[in-house]
Amino acid sequence: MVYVPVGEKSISVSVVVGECTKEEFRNGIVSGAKKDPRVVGWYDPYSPILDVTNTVKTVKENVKSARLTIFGSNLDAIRVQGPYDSLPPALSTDQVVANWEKGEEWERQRCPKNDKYYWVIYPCELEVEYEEVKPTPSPWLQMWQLLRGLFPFLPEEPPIVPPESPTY
Amino acid sequence: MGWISLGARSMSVTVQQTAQRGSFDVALSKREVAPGESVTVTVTVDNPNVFSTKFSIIVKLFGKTQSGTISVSSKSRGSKSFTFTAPTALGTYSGSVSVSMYVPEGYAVPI
Repeated sequence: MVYVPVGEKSISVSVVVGECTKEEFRNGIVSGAKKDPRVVGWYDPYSPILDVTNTVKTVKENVKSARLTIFGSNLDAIRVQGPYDSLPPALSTDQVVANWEKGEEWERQRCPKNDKYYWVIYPCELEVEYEEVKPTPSPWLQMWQLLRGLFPFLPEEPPIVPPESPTY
Repeated sequence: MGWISLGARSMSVTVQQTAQRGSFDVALSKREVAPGESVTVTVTVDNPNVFSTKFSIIVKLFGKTQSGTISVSSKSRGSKSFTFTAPTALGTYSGSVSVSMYVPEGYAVPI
């Protein structure tokens, strides 16, 4: 009858006064995401995937769809700035999308423990799908198409393509 | 010419199966807590042996020690949780989790 050692592991816990932990901020985002109609899926239980097509369309052209994954599972990768006594001004849409392209989602969050506000910066990934852009026809081709509209018997292709710049 | 008996003596040989050492994982409910908040340490042990056994667990955190035992069936896992209250002084506190496994009679102790 004997006990044999299996092993020993180290643990560590930080005690932080009166401030919300990264985990608490993250959990706030997760519970908010569960009610957000833009959420289309989950990368993992702490990382929502949002449809941000409308937001990205306001600053970029030819956007077909855009999805943003906010990664919340790795607490070490989350950064906190603050505290602030009042809600920091919101970022412009340009800045929001620029941050997404840098892999950062900036969230303004209030900590109920001290009634202060923070910028909480989450790692994220933006995936944008663009519309296929058709090349603009040359002015000569546009004119030919106009002529074909008036005279449908004309061939589809213009018989002669004039030079880009006329020479005199 | 012939054989004469000098006597007979008995002997025995015991064949023992060596127990396998178990393994364990540790999970913390929070890695950051406010003073006075509680944090739970959950220890999950794995018994790879074909016999049921007990694991003895000692958890040290915030300068306090808690211990307990858990019975685990053959080739099974079991877990036990320990709750600690954070002190008022700020800082990062290190602790440890030590686990021992009971080897029943009839099995050799792993080296």
